[in-house]
Amino acid sequence: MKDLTAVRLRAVSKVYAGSAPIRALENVSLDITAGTLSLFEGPSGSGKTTLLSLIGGLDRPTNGHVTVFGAELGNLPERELVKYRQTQLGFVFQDFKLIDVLTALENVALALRLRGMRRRAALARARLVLEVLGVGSRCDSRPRDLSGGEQQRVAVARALAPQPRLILADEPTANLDSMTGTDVMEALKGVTHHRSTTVIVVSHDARIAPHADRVFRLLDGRLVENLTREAA
Amino acid sequence: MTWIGVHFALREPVRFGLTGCGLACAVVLMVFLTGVYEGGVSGSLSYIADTDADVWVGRPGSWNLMRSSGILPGSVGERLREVEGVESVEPILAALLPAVVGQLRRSLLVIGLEDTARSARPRRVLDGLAVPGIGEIVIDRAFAMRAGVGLADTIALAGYPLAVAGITDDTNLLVTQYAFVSRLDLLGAVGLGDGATFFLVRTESADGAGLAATIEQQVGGVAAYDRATFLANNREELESGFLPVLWVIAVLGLVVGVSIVSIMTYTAVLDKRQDYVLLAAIGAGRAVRFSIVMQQALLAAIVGSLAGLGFLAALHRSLPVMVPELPLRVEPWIGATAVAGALLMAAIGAVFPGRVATQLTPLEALRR
Repeated sequence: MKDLTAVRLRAVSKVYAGSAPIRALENVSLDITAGTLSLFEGPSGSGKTTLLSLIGGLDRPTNGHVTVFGAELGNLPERELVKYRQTQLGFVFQDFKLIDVLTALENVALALRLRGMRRRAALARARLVLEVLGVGSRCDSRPRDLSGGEQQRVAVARALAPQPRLILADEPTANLDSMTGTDVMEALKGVTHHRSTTVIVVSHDARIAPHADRVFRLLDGRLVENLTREAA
Repeated sequence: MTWIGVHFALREPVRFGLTGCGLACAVVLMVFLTGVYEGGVSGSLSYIADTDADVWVGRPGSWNLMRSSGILPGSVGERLREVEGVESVEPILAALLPAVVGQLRRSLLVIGLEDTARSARPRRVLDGLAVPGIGEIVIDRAFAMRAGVGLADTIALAGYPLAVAGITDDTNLLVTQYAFVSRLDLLGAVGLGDGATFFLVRTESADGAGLAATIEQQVGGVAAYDRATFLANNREELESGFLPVLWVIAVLGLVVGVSIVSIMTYTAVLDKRQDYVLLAAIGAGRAVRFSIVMQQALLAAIVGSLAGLGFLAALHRSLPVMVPELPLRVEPWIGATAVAGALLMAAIGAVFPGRVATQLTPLEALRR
């Protein structure tokens, strides 16, 4: 039987060393099914972003196992982690993180170029994705000339363009008005349906929960709730 | 391969321009000094290379033309003519003498020629005669420009008034210039009887080295050099004075260039820290980030060195008018070496900033 689990965490803990060590995550275990949108919510300091960084291969757990699409990230060497981020992941950040010397089109194409796509093909694909997300007319604009909503759409386009299997979104609606936030979430939700992409969102924003197939609540580094959409 | 580094560079025109300017200055400095050195060497050696003498004969220890003070008696010339294989012998007298034109005072390396001089006469004559008669002088173009004199004007050489009879080119030694006078005039000016600094000997067989050895054996009390050896001796004399200074300045130029690239590229990495972090997060490995930094530095080197060479090309036209004594000679290999040097400076200068970019953790992308 085919394993539908995209992300599996087993007894994951993360401690930041220092004079006063911080236990950011403690004994977290969970499964995330492929092709679903999962929301992690919780107050500041609850461990949401740490969780995202572990699933994204940006950091390694102190204890436990993080497995994504069958690959145990803790065992992967740096080079393989880079390849994992390059080929399997798309990131969406709260502050968009667009490169301001590049146009919207170039920002999106960059993610494709890093995967080895030729320039012309990358630009064509980037233009298509920007058009699908409703910002096709802003291809040649620099980020500073775009509204917050447009910037986030471009950032989503950058995450979606390479057709990753997993998208990690860190507070994607925090800097957006209600309507734009909804549009962004619908775009993310759309890829779970159309491409079976798995989307993990970390957010404080209560408006996101209705878009989620599963909601995880974190508190002080512990997983305290694990709800399906109906229950959430 | 992504060319995002080129975007980073070109869309930060002020920083890029400053880096390029710094490299352009380093290139100008290096090419200018090398060009002046080459010009000086060419001016110094062309006269010797252009003579058709196969062997130069002087006093033992007089191993180059520029710094030889030994004098051979005129009778040596007769003994040289008796050596088998000698076709012709020409004496020259060389002395560093003060020349005065109005308020201008310069020391000239004066070569006294026979009025029948054939081997020793200057070959690159711009105007007038190659071989001066009694009471005449042939001077270098740079000295003529500096002194503002032309044909038939008068120059006081060691107090003797001489009329300018010819103007030569490629006879500028940078620190002084060649001048040619009658050997009899020069003998009078330096207060010597019959004497010669060197005898220029032509062979029948063109075997200069063999004849030089024969002359040393048969004539005695002289040092004889075939033309190639004599040229090498003169080059060595020049290099011993010029090259150490040139190397020090070249190294200083390299250090300055590397420092400029390093500082400017480092600040660019710090300024774009978030971009490098983002790149790391979305899958740009260390090599890609390093190459992005390197691209910026190398682009600045290419643009800077071309700008520097362009500036020098303009300078090359106006320099002979502004400073005639500076014999700037920029050969293609000097330009190519300068571009390569700028690329090397950029590559070295980008190593540290490149390492900084590779060591940024992608985790920063999630920090707020």
